Amino acid sequence: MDRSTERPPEVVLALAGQPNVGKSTVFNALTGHDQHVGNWAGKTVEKMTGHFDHSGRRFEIVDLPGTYSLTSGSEEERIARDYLIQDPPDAVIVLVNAASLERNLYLLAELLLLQVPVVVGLNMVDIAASHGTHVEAHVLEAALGLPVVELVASKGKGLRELIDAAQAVIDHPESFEPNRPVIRPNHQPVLAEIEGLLTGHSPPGYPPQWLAIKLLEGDADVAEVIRKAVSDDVWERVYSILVEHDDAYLDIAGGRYDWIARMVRAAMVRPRRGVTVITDRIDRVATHPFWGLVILLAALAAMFAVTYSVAGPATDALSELISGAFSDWLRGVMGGAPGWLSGLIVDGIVAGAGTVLSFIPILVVFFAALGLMEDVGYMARIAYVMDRYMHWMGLHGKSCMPLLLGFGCNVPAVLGTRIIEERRARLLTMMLSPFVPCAGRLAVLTFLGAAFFGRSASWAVAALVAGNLVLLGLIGLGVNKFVFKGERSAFIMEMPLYHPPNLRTIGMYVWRNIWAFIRKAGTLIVIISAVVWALSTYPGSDPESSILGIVGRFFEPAGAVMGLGDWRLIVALVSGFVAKENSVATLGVLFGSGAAEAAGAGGAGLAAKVAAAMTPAGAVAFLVVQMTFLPCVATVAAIRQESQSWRWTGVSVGLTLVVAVVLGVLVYQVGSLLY
Amino acid sequence: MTSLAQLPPLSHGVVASLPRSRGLARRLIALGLTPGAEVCVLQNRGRGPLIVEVHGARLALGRGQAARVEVEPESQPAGE
Repeated sequence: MDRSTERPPEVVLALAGQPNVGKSTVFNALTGHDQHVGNWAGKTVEKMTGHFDHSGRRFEIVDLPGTYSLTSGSEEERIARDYLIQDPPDAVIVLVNAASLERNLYLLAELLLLQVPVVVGLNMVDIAASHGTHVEAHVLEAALGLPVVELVASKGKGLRELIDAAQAVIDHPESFEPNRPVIRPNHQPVLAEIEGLLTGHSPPGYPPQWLAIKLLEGDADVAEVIRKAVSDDVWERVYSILVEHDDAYLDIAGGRYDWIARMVRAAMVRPRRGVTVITDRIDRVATHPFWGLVILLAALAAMFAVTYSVAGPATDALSELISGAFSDWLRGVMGGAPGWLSGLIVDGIVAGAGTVLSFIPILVVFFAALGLMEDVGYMARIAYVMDRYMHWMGLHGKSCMPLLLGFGCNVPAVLGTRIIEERRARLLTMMLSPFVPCAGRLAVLTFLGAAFFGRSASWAVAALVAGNLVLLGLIGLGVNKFVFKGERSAFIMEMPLYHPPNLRTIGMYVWRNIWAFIRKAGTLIVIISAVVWALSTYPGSDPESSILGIVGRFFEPAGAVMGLGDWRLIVALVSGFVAKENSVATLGVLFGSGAAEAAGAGGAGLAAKVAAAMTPAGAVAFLVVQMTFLPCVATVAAIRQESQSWRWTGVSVGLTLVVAVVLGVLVYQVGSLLY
Repeated sequence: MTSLAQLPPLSHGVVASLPRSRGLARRLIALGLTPGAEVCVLQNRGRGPLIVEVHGARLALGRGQAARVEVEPESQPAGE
């Protein structure tokens, strides 16, 4: 489909679907790079819109959040339905996965209560067929009374026909007469009674029957809308009916599945009972309590090995390029400029933001590996295998998924906690995210570890990372026991069928994560790099007499308890607050090597100098503190945004600070006794 | 009548009732576990979470949640 022209859209479509139906694959295939990422008005949930041309018309397509239903249970569900009611598109495309057809049609059953025209995209027919499930699109179409188009979105099949079908229902609204679900007979009288009470009072845009059904389902948002719209007298009568029928929601949901069963009866053939499909065969091993864990650890080890062996050298080269050749060139170009300006730009912004950008190769490989695990369906198995261990912390398996992201960068980890339904479990996972060693911290660890531990560096680094993860577990146990009083949360998640990866979907996943990272480096980190440079340069002529130096000296006695009696080490730790990887760059500046030497292959000189400034126990203490001390500023901002609470943001900062200082003192004091 | 957590692997049952907690019941419903739905237990090792199939989709379910879903076991063994 062409995407060349820049005209205002004539047709607006919304793309709806439950999770795991291939929604992003369809969205990417339709829009290519003509996509825009924003936020839903007043919300922190991402809103994706895209454009394309089809048979001479300009289309806009809005990707609705993937939700199982349209009840006001989660923010995503609220966003999807508020959009459909208050700003209805010309038509909605509902994607369903042929392999889990009945469950996927539940969302359609809800959508058909609204007045907007709907077409169904029947996706993943190939994967369903390989698992013995066959669905006849035209039979389903006849039953539903609305267009059903067969798709293999991963191969681009059926997309043109899908848009044709959407266009047809928009052009001929009179012909859109779908078979809509009806409520079970035992609740019909009470539904009619509520509808009668609401007549003439329903707020504009809301279909009256939809309001009545949502009230009976116990939807708190709709109840609030109605309470405000009707007189106290009417509300009291409605309320008393709702109290009397407070279990109606079970019947309403059951009625939708009755309707679905009728719709699919003739259209679908399921495998015989007891037939073992490929997903079952893989799961016998992949979700086994012992072998599943072995596979998980092997997968993670492979992921890290590939990330650091393939991307590590690329990152080193990029870093050398930025802080070496590029900085020299820039300094030359700025030869005529005042010294402070070239200092600010080269030693401040390029050194700070540039170091961060040099992590891109590592993050690309890391996110590609995670994207692959997610796309083939393995990510859900990780959650399943880890569930029993996460229970010790009062969490469940789903918390693993954001924490895993944390190995790349803590920011997506914090944002990723959204998939956890209960606020308590979400907060706890958020508090744990900064204890996952991110790419930045791992880079500092490997860089300094090489100088501190010599030949046994790789073992020492691995031991420190393992220790870090044990610490994460202990903190989870502690916070759960003392802050949340050991409450349990519910583990309910879909296990998608395994299927071959789609390179395009993985590519878009990598691109979106990397782009978010670049934006962060381009804004926040640029500013803070400039500030740190200024603080370490003024008022004196050398770092020692700068503001940062004075502050560092002030904390020297406290640092001495952890073996960090050198103010430069303290300043390096503090500068990690901007971005963890800054610690190395700061050491480079303060120990008098250039940034190039700090980051590049010549860094061994710097690491050796740093090592010489510390006792062995102090060196270990420095690394331990470096790994646990304060989340970086971007992570703090993310925690504030996601928790919507300064108190919890403060708890996170305080917790990491206390843990880092206690461990630093402990490691140094015990270490000094032993050596 | 028994709980979903008690059903052995590869056995079938029909959901009789959901947990009283509305929030939990709603999440189960949205993922297809409704009263009257037929479930098939794919994995149940007596400890840890379960995998069940319901309305054509696979769900992972914590043991604590599964224990609060009542089911009527089907007398016919699987595969018949």
